[in-house]
Amino acid sequence: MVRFFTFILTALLFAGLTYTVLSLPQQTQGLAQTVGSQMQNSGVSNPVTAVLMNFRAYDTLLEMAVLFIALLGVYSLGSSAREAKSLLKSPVLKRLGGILVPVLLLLSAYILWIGAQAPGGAFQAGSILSATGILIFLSGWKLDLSYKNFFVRLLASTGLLAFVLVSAITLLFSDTLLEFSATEASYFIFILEAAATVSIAITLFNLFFTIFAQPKEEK
Amino acid sequence: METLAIVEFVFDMLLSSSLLFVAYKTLTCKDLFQAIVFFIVFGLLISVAWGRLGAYDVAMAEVVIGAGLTGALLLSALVKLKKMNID
Repeated sequence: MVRFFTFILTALLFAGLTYTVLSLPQQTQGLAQTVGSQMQNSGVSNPVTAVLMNFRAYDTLLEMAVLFIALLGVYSLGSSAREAKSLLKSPVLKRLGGILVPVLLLLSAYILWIGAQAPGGAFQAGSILSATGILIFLSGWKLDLSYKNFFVRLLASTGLLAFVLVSAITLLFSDTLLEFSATEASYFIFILEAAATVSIAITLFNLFFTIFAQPKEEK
Repeated sequence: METLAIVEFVFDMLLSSSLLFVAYKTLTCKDLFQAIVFFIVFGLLISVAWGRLGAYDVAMAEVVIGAGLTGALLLSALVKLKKMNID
């Protein structure tokens, strides 16, 4: 019976999606032209970064808030005492980590930097950074990035803090939130992206860490 | 030029059909570990699909978050599940 209803619902969803796709107009203008005409005021030359960090920076501010709230949720679920000790013990991981970690750090910095003119940016760089953290953690290196550490908590909130501070600064000079002037935009965007990278890295790493770290044995 | 278009068409068809197949296997697989591996493969394939569509930003995010981090998260959750069953 449940299967039957699931089938009906899935079929309805499929029909709806098909109808939506088929009813799309053949030729659409999109917003590409609008974005293209404003590109010289955005401070970056990659349209995706321009939209995320300048034209729709308010959305990104809210996204950072969502990530931060998700991290708080994970913190509240994690049990209290945890050791920074991996469950995996493999010599291969240890050697590979030694080779890969410097390369990954460099790659993450490169992706953050190149985001201004080519595909890349804060989210990609941050997730590469957190993957590096996970690799370090799994390789069995002592790495205390748990939220017990005040410094880690500070880093996790950097992105949101930077966004709020920059919004406050822009409000001082203009009437609109997160409105950058064409000359300063690239600096503001770089600060925001760098802060967001750190926060995203810490957040994603801690999502993993909270599950995988061993509970501390009580003595 | 004509042969390139045919090669691209064949590649796209192979990509989309393997996406569907892997998605089906991910959902119907009995073994959880296998399902996770299929999920990771699905993430990698779909990032190739994003790349074919020209959305390189999305492709990059998908390959790191969708295939890498989510895969690692799911695997660690699986380890947790197995430990809970034994204890």
